[in-house]
This record gives sequence, structure tokens and C-alpha cells, in this order.
Amino acid sequence: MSWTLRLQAGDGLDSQSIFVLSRLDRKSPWQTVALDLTGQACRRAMVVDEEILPATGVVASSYETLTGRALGKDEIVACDVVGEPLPILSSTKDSIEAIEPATAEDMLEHVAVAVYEVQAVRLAPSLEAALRMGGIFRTRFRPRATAQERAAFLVAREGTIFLILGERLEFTVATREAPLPPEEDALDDDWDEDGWLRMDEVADTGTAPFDTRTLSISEETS
Amino acid sequence: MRRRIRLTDHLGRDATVWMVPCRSRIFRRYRTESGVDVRSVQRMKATSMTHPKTLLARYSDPADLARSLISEDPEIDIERTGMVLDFSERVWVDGEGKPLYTPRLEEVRRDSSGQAVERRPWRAKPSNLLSHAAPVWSGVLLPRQTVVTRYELTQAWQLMHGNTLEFDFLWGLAQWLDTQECMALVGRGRSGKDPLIMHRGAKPCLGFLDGRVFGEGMRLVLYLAQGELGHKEQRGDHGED
Repeated sequence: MSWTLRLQAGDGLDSQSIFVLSRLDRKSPWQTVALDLTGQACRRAMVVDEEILPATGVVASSYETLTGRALGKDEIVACDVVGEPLPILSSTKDSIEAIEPATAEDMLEHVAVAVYEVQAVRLAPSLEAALRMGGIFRTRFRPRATAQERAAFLVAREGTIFLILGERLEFTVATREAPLPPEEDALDDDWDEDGWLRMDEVADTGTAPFDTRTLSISEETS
Repeated sequence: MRRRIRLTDHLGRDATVWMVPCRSRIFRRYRTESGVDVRSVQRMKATSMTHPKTLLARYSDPADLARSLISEDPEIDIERTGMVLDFSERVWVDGEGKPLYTPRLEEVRRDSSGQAVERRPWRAKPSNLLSHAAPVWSGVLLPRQTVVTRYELTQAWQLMHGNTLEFDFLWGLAQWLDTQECMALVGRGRSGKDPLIMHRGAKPCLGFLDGRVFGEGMRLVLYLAQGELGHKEQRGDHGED
């Protein structure tokens, strides 16, 4: 699936760029399967109320009030931390978005939640030159209407342009006297996090763990 | 969930410090338009006896199934349908539906037609955050701009202190990195450049440490990258023999 993004860096047609974006994923060609003693593939299941149930098709998720009244998606609104409704931001597919220079420090306030490979249908010469020089640009990209604003960073590497969708993070300035912040979502001591994560990862995504031998940094950067 | 990591600084000193996950700044919750709080709930939709696959197996003729759905409601377990599911364990089951406690995990690579072309045993690598020996300072410093335009930074953990000795260690490292205006590669192995493994079986990732000093405070963040920015064909290459 691909999306179109139109950017305007200044006045005039020369400053307009049109990109086609395709999302990149990290799906591995290796799929992890579980085998029984006879070598037959196993299925995942869940244990509920001492009964083994198939992993799919037995659970329904819904939004409910605290009194148990089920709600449709059109009956609920996303709110901020103080409970004020967040505005619904429309998709950027039909709009021309502004673009502005950004810094590496801006990007480090975010982590990547999605990466898109960008094909330029039209690329403003000034933007192309700046990207070639290692420039970072910030714009807006929303594939669909959402209440969550995410920053979109445009970078180039080895002749390819990428758009990185970033989620802004909360950092703390640590001081000598400040205690360690209280842990959120503390888990029980008997929680087998490793086992749970491993099974989830294998079963949900089918992705295999990376092999450490080929993931290393090149010597030229030292 | 916070973790501990053993870290070596540019002076060759090492310490074990806290890793605190950096949360998203946008906190969202849902409400009705009239301001009533809303929660997400999971309820049981079917049991093993009322699952669509079971019903399809029981009624060979779809017309019989349709008649039964109207007259007998076999798709509903009156006692349990709609039950709230707070927690459920996940297990592997064999072809007969019996749970397996120690299944053999194997990795399979398939071609475009779905045929398995290669198999290998799946091995879980243990976490290497807390090494027995002091980790090696990699000595690799990269400008921030190089890191953000070369790697896909998908996680950030703030390194925090539990006591003032740890604070002095972290503050010294943050100040040095801030002065250098660079990020340091944090890794494992003899050269300190091998990937970090956050927990058993996790995907290895490269760690980059960014330090800033604000007066008497500091911010030391470990960013994790599972790979470099690359074309579709290049991605997913890490770790595939």
C-alpha cells in the first residue's frame, strides 16, 4: 500500500514536492514454528477457566462504561490527560503540508514508530540539495484521520529518501537528590515476562530473533 | 518495566544503573461524548464447543447448520458467552488439542510459493545487559545527525541512578558526551560493539547513548536500533544467514 504526500517548502511551484510513500517493515523471511514430539506443527491456544480454547475467534474486544454498557466506536472520543477531547486531525492525503528544517536533537525527542521509503514524483531542487547534504526536515503525515499528532521527519541516506514517523517521548532531568521515579505498571513477582514475550513474539508475528553475528557496526565509524 | 544495565564509561569505570523506559508524551484515554470514562474489555465470544470451526465440523451440510443456528442456538454457551476475560494463559497444543509443555521450536524459511527451503533450531539468546565481567567501552562516537539518519531508533530508555555514586558516574558520562556532541555506541563483546539483548529471546539491537547536561541535572538516554534505514530489499537482512 502506498500514500501520496505533497510538500511545500516556500512560494512557487519550484518549491513543491510530491512523494509516494511505501511503508517498510522488518518482517523476517524466517518463521518460527513449534513442533510436537512427532514433528507435527502445533497450534497456539489459550487457557480460560480451565478450558483450552483456540487462540483466535473466541475473544471479543469492546469499549464499555464502568457500569458495563457496551459502546460503539462512534460513541467514544479520545481525550488528553485532563480529560479534554482531542481534536480529530484529518488525513494529509488531500492537503499540501508545510516542511521546515529540523535538527538531530529534535529527532532524538522521538522514537520511530513507522518508516516509509519515499519515491519522489517531483522533488524541489532546494529540498533535494539539502537532503543530499544530510539535512533533516520536519513535516506532517497522517495516512488516516487520527487524534494523535505524530512528527514526520524526512531524511536521505545513500540516495534514498525516508520518512520517519516519530512518537514524542517524555524525559526526566535527573538530579542528584531526585529519587528514582515510581515504577508504572509494576508486574507481579511471579510474572514470567520472558516466556510470555517469547511466545507472543513467535506466535503473533512469526518473526525469528535476529542473529547477533551480522548485526554490528562498521569499523569506519570509530 | 525498568531494568538494570552494566555500563562502562569513557574512563574505563563501570557501574550497574537503572534503565527506565521513556513513555510517550501523549497520554490518551477514552470517554463518551458526555464525559463518562470508558474502559476496554475483553469478553468470551465462543468456547471450544461453540467455535465456528467446531460447528462447521459438526454439521457437514451448511443448510443443517443454518437451521440449527436459528432453532437451537448452538453458537451460544448460555453460561459463559460474554464472560469477562481478565487474564488467560497461552499454551501450545498438538493436533489433538492437548497442551504441550516443551514444544520444539524451529525456524523455517520459505520460498515465494510457501515451500520450506531451510530449517534450523530456534535458540533463545539470554539477555546480556548484566554481564559478569565489566563491558568494554566501544570507543565508537558518532555525531547525532549520523545516528538519526542512519539507524531506525525504535526504543529509548533513560539511564537513572539509585544512589549518588551512580549519579556521579552517569553525570560524568553525560557531561562528556554533551561536550563531544556525539552519541556513543554501547554494546557487548570483546570490542564492545556487539548488540545488546534486552531479555531472553529478544531481537539483538544496537545501543546509542546520548548525554545532555542541564545545570546540575542531566539526561542520559540509551536509544536502541534494530537495524539501519534501508531499502525494502535490504531490510530484514540482519541476522539472516
